[in-house]
Amino acid sequence: MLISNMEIVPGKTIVRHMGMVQGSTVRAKHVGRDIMAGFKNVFGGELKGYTELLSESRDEALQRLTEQATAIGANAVLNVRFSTSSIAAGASEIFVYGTAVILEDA
Amino acid sequence: MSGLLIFLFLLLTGYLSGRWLEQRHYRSILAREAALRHLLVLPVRVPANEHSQHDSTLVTGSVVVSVDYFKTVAASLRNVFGGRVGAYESLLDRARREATLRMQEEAQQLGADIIYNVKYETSRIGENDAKGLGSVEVLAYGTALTRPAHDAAA
Amino acid sequence: MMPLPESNPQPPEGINNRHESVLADFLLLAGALLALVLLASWLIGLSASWLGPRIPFSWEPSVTPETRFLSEQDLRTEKYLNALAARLLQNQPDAVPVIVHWLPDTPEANAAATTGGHIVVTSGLLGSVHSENGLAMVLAHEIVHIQERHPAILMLEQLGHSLLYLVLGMSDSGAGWLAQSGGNAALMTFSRSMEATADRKALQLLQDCYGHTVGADEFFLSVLSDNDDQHLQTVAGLGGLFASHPDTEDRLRQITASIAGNSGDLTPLPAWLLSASDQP
Repeated sequence: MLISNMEIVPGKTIVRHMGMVQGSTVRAKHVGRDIMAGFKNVFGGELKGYTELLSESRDEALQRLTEQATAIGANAVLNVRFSTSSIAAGASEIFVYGTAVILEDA
Repeated sequence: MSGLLIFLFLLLTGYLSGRWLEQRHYRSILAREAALRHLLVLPVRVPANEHSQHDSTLVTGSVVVSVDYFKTVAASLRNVFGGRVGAYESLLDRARREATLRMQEEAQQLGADIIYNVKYETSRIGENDAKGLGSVEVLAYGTALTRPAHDAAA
Repeated sequence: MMPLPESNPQPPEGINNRHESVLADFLLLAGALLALVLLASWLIGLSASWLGPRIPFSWEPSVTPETRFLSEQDLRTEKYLNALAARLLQNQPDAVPVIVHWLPDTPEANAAATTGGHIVVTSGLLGSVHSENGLAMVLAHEIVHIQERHPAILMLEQLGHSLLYLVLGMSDSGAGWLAQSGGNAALMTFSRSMEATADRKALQLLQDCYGHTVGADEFFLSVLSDNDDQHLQTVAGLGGLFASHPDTEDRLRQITASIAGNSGDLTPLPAWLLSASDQP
């Protein structure tokens, strides 16, 4: 499955548009990570736990997007956009959506 | 003791009513999605050639959905142990699809053929940072393309 | 430019809204949280009861009742109570000092030990006992709490618990409520065992002082006969903030068992005390 945030893919032609597909997930980090993050807020620096949380979520959201695209018979998702929102304290939602298409080599 | 009873009562009420409302909402979403399936919603920015002469209008759809007590408690438990917050996922899915439907309904009233460049905005409202999710707002917006009047007459 | 589809796609349901068994997940997590909190409470309890007696007594914050107006008669009563406490402790050379405070015009029968070696006795208590032995039992119970450093232990426990809830970071969420209920249940079990210890050792003090334990059950009998579902509140606590609810009947059974086969004369309460405290 090709996923891109461009509208066209060099060297490929869009044979058919399939419509919009989306993937989203909400995740929370466990208490230990939250506490570490609290400490980090004092000293500064990267919040590894949260970076990890968000990238895991992004992977899962992408995977769900792919699942939807596969289910409707597409082989690529173009024009993909991510949006992240903090849904509750310590939990955030990743939402990704794009246009499912069928690509062919030009 | 009475605290426990109140807690269990709220939990049970939240679970039952939340489930009932969610199922009812999903039934309505599925029916309306089927009815509006012909009105295309695309994140694509550049319109197709066939739409190059159409009039464009900004259309929006938004909805605020509230959590139930059961979901709040389930999510606060998840917050201790970490992991996927299943209780909120269906909530956001419902909100997003409802917002899309409302946007489509607006476009349909305009007589639009298609909605391009659809974008979403999600925000949490109603609760402060320390507490769990109160309610969530989803805004869907895009550009509806309508066949020009003179063209339709022709 | 590009071929558009006929209609919007219809991907299968349940990709972005997996309806996993929410209820089973909830029960599992709630159970795990309770187990976690109970384990933590148990550890906190253990360390508090280890640490409490090792803290120098002078470090205990002195929690005394608010300044109140004491009449001549009240001062005399307070003096009498302190003398009684001293008599109960006369054979205990290592005892920490105990100060009894008299709380006049308080109808509910109650006594409480606070940190710093203070005991508060309400005027209502006098109405619920018939002899000095009955009064001495209540006083001895609180004295044992102080000798065993129970107020300090409880304070440490409560500190530990607030830290636990702080760490779990969910004081006002549903999960926080669940955790606190679990923690409170654990605290209650702990304070129950403290009450049992206090009763046992108080009977010993009575035995040493009067040569028998007759009359020790007076207060408990009175509480039961009050037909009041209010639980007994003779509790080591922080200014009465904390009240445990040990089963009065269970405690009474223990005390009656100790009295059985024990005989002796009851020491009457001083006449001047009775005449003054007769108001219900």
